[in-house]
Amino acid sequence: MTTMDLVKNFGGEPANFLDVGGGARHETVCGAMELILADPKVKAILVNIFGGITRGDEVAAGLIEARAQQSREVPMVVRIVGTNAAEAARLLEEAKFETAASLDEAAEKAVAMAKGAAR
Amino acid sequence: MSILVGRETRLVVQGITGREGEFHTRAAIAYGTKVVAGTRPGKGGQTAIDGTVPIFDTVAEAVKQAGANTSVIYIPASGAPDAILEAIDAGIKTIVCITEGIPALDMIPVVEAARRAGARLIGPNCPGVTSPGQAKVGIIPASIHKPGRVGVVSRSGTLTYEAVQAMTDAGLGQSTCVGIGGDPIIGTTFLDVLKLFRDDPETDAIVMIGEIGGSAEEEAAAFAAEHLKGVPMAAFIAGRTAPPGRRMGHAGAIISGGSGTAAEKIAALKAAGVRVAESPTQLPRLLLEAGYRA
Repeated sequence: MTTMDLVKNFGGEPANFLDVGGGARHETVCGAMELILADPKVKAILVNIFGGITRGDEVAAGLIEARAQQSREVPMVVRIVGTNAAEAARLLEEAKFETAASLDEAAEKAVAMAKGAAR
Repeated sequence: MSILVGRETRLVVQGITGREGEFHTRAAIAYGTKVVAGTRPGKGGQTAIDGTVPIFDTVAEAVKQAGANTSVIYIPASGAPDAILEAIDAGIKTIVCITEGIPALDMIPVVEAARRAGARLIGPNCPGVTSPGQAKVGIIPASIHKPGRVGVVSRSGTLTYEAVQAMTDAGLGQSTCVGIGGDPIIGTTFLDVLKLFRDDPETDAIVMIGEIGGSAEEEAAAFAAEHLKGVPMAAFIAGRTAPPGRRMGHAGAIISGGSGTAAEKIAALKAAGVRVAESPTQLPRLLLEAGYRA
């Protein structure tokens, strides 16, 4: 919900909001990406995870799996911190994902991506 | 001192053999929390966590034989209300329920049972409680904490982490961080935790993270205006852009009948003299503006 608030702060407009829930596994994340991509209004994707019970590496694995299967290209920025964040960072770097360290930075990047894609 | 959990905590983990129970018990032990027992009916007499933690069939045995005084619950929603009642019956006075998805109707008699027994229930659907440098009960990542004198209380798990990380990055340590949970029926409210922080000699400032839905933030604001006058306080309210009538991630996060909006909550807090942040990253700066010095 705060992710949405910050997207607005940076001048963007959230197309939708999906909370993967605590403890999401990679298949949950993969399914979530499929749902979001099915919305034609989506011009950019911001993934923000501060894992407590959710493990960052599970989310990263889900994102990588989703990208291999996805039907259309949408720019994406990923911020994963908290539980197993280091493992997540390694997976995302190997797979060449665009990442951000803070939520503010991630929101700013996502808004810029959406504006770039809209042009 | 700190509140709710600390060096005196002797923890029993209900559901220690489950995936989450085991993972987070390891993290708690690594942080220095005294985990004295686990429970799993049918596995009494065995051990968990590489033979280091005895398993009992019941919480009552964990209290009697291992001296447990605090419990944390990692049990699926179908069994969690009974697990809380079992802890209450065993005489545990601090019970932290992490479980998400317990029906609100099931929680009503459980919260009442805790109140009558004089037990403090935190949650459900919460990340738990950490007193940095002393004890970690629940799922808040250990790496984000720094011991200090700011009390943090939040309805949201993730936002607790955001706020605590921002504080630690700014060099502001925490006395205790409490996630009270995002459900409509919870054991401990903002108001309860603010009272505990007020009475804690080791808490000098307070950060509060609220969100849309209900009126707990307004009640907290009224309390702050009256009883926390000299205490530097900063808050963040999530959901300024949330559409009315839609549930936003948490069962309790919903603007219903036009009330429970972020704007109302922000206005109530500001009127009470609490500084309100636009983003969790601003919280440390607002605390300093309110006169707090670490």
